[in-house]
Amino acid sequence: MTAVAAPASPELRIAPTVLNRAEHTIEIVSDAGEGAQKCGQIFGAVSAKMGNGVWTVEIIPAEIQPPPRTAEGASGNRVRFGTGPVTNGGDETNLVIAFNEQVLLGRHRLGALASDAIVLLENSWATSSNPDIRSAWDKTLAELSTTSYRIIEVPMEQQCLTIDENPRKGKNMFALGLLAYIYDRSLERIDEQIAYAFRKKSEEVYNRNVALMRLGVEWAAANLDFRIEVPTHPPTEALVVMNGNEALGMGALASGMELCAMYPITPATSVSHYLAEVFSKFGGILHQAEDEIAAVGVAIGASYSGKVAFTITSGPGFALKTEFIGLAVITETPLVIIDVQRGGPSTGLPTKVEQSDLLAALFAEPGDAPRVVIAPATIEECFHVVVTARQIAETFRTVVIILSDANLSTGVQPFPRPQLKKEWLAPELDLAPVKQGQRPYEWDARTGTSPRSIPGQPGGMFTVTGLSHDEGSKVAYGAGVHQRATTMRSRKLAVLQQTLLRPAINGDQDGDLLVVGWGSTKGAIEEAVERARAEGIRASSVHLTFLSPLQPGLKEIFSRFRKVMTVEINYSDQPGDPFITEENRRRGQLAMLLRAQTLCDVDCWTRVPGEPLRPGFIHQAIRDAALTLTGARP
Amino acid sequence: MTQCAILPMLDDDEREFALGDYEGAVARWCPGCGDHSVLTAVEKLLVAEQLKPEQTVFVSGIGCSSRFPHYLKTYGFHGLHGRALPVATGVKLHRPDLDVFVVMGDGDCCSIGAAHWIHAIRYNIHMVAMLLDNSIYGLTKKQTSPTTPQGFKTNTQPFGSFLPPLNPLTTTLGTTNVSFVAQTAEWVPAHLYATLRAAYRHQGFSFVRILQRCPMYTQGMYEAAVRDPGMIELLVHDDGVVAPELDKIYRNRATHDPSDLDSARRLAEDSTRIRLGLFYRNESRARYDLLRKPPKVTSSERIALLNQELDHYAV
Amino acid sequence: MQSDERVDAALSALRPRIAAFRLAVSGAMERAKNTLASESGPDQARVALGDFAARLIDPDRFAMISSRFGPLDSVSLAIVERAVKALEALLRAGDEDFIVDVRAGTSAAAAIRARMTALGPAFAAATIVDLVRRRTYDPAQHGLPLEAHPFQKWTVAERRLAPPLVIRLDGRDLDAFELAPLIDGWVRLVLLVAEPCTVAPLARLVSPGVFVAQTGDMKVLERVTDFDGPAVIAVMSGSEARFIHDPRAGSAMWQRIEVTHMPAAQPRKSLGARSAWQQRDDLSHLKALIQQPVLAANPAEVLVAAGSSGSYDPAERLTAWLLDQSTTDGSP
Repeated sequence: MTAVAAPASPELRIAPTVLNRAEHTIEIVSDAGEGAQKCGQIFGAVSAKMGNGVWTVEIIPAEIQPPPRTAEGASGNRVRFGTGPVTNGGDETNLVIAFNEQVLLGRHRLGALASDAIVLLENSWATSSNPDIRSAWDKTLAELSTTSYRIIEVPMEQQCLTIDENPRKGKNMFALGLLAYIYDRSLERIDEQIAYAFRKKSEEVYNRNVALMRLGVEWAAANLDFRIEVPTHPPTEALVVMNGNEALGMGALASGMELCAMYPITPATSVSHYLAEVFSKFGGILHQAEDEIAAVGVAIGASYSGKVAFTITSGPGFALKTEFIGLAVITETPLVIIDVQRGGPSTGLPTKVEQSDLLAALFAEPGDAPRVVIAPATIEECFHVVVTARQIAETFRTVVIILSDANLSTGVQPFPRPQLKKEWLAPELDLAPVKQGQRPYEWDARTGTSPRSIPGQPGGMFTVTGLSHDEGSKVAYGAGVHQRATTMRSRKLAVLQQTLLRPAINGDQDGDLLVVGWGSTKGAIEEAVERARAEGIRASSVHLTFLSPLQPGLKEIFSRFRKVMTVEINYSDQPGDPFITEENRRRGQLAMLLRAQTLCDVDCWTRVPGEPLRPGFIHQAIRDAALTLTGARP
Repeated sequence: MTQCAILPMLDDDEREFALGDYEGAVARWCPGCGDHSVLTAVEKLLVAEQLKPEQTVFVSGIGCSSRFPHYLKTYGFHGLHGRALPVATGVKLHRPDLDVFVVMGDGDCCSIGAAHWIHAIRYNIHMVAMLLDNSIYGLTKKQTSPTTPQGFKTNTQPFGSFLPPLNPLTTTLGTTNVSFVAQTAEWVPAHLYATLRAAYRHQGFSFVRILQRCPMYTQGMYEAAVRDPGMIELLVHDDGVVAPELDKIYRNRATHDPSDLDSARRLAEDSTRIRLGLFYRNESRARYDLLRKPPKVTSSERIALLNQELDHYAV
Repeated sequence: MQSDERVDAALSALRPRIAAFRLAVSGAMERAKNTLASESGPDQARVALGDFAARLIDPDRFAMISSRFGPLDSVSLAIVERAVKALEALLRAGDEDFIVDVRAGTSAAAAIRARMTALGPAFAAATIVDLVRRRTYDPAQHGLPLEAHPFQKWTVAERRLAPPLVIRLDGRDLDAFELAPLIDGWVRLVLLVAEPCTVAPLARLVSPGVFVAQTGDMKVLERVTDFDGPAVIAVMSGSEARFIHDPRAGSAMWQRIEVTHMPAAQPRKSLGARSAWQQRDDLSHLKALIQQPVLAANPAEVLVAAGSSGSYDPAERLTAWLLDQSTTDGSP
């Protein structure tokens, strides 16, 4: 269905229809470089500030500058916002602003849009001087005419040209104005946000952007026959809003770590962009190393000589770092590694989410190299996890790997402002002389831990080595020595596990189906479980934060449900596949781990779509699983 | 950066260190291995400069020579093959108060760790990097290394090394921001010591290639040069490596001003003779460790700063 | 007494040293407070583990692993609390802690010594906290110098962190010999001298490692900002000698010392404890210090050129140069 909004003179206009919605999902899509992401980010931040729950996701093409006007090149931002808290990106989009019909087509073909989506589409292409473009427009609109979208053509370029001679640079602010009108956003707050977004640019740039935004508001007021109201509740506590990578960077500042060594890799790099701006003020160094290997090596060198240091990477970089991680384990050098996961293997899907590094994080190492693996599930947890990770690394002289992912890294969500504590900070170095006779690895058999001495401490001089060694760091290949040292390094994990608490169960404490997840899927899983429970399905969920060591009580919790199923964004063979049998089926990574650790028959539902799992899809998987259970019921 | 603000009641500066204060485990290299001479020269340097053992860190990779830190009673880091330089970089960036020495073999530095080598030269962080170059993989038993002479037979290239050897001096001298390059030989102890002393005193990244014999696999390699000092040309200059005791033995001398990079490159390129001495020194090069030195920040200041950061993101 | 502008200028030039001292004090206080906090066991562990750990980690069990020592006894706790109080008092004080007014007719050195003794507990408190924390504090052996900790007991490291002092005094009370024992570490003494004063009161303090200046120009203070050694600077306004001895300026005494003014007349009257002859001898001493060896038309140039090209033994360089001269016609 296509409707062209007719320009109307103000006196003839009738009041627009106001649609009331508890939540809405919008997206702005354009060719790369047209600023749609900035538009979405500002809209998300302003909505959060006005008191909506918000989850923002970037729509990123794999290439930096894909060919313009292609279905694959869609770039932009997707904002789900509601009256209550929003914990994930949700399902389909309700309103789209598209800068050309090809990127719209791309989103349509991906099934991203709700069947009744409202589309605001730039229409300058219809009258392009280029006949190829005109025919592409006609063809696409014909294809879309079979849908039930409400397509409203908007003369964006024509409007923007009245202010800026380069419409490619101004449409995003015009689009922001459209959204501001439709959703009744505070223009003052938008102005503030524009000022912040363009803080490094001139006053003139700010003024032009504000003018373009207001132009959008005016055009919408004069031409649109609807508005949408998503009621806001002004927040009762102080909130901050940021993306997961910014939260990780700030968490690192809050932990008092002073050195981060990294090598650029998507989608982890933006943590370092943030730190590059502010770290030195905090007495820190962000070192961009010559490669991924050097990055972890520099972090280990710094950790060895003082405060725990950290490195940030993604799958391919993690693969390169494994030898050094083994060295940190055997030398018991504390180290924090942040892995912002993306699709793999190899270069894979650099900008897209996946949870495929779990087993690599746990096991990618020759020899036995136990380490701690933690996965934050929300953007707030991205902030706080770093403090805890540093503390564990120091206490246990161990490697701690934080598994974030591309969904958290670019997702934007408000959360309670952290109440900072001095105790979170790494203490100043203590260079007091080492106790007479203390050996470099004086393992306490009750904990596996040993006090660490650092260069500068008189009396503590010794050489750490990647060779098998005894308490004195003396190279020793004897069977007994290696067995004992390996046991002590493993014992640290066992002892840490004994300090962990059982995971909380979301929903009833027993029932038919238990969904187990980890990492960024928490919001979507819990929303899906809630929907299923509303339908009467006896489903609950558990979200695991510690993956190594695993939290206690899992086997007992699993025993209270008739079926246990993980939901993960990684690959597993699907049971209906004619090639797949119970014997040859490869399962999701957490499912494999849980089966090995609990001897429970843990099933899995996993997908690798290159995008966050939608709660609707998980909901359907829960229904299907529940159905097989009811079918099997006597 | 991070240092204990107040030291305990211990008058560090009043200690005097003798050779025994630096000696670690008994060296277990083969008899006749050049590593022994390097260790002796380094110990002599530590005593002469009175380096505090706890303030000194030796970082090594993997290979025969990388056992080095175990034989000293300083702090030591015996890490991964080829990766000594990144570790040393981390130590020195976080703890500029420490004296850092790096010990690498030719496989370590010029092959598996070559990327780090090039970039360490460019970072020009204050440390002494020693390349203990015996032109062979010894620990893994006689494989071709990047500096193995062409035609030399090894277990991996039994019909002779295929390619001409990599020249560590020209590689180093050709790298942007190079600040100190010297070559010395394990069998000329006075020159070895004088070179290490000059390297230690240089403010920046000092690269010292130490020519060395492996008694197991390359014993003949420098035999002629050891017997006949005339085969060696000493680069001499008042600002170079000064070892007057060699004047009478090594009469083959060339005056070379170490501030002259073009001349240094020409001398390094010419492989007709073995040259020992200081090829290049320039203390005015950019130093990454100085450029990156962060301010000292108290915990209260950190909290205040982070609260300001959070203000930017406040709803 | 001098105007306050001179005090302000002196304090502002000394700001980096004041900051270093205060950083040391606040660092020590944080460690002391951490020591107290860590004694609260699980509470400390719970806070330090961060909000993320709230529903994940049992702080009681974690604390058993993270604390290496048993709890402190009540005596030790009380001692650390006293140390915290002493440090807090030092931090609370403003710039006045770094200004010493010497009452006319009394010993300047005694006043400086007294102030150092009063500031010294910063160091003592830090050390005591460290000892307590490691359970090695012994009251009999270490005492409890939280009110007074004299300069002579400061360690090498502490002397490097010595608080800089601005001293207002009468010229007649300035006695170099009394000050000498206080010159060590990175001590900074800025003497704001009220006239009259003897002609070269600081000449006797000139020695290879000490920055010494008699000056009318406050800008000289900036030169010691990055000098790693002790410095004594007298700021004066009369007709006394003006000179700067900067240990970094060369290897020979005459290279390091720069005299910009010599009094025209020889002193004829005694002043304070210093007789006329003693004052004349101070001047003679200063003149002797600036004597250059007679070598050639302009040996300074030759030596400066040689010094800048990286030789590390200037004495050797000088010998080499002399030998070189003897074989040529003598013109460099």
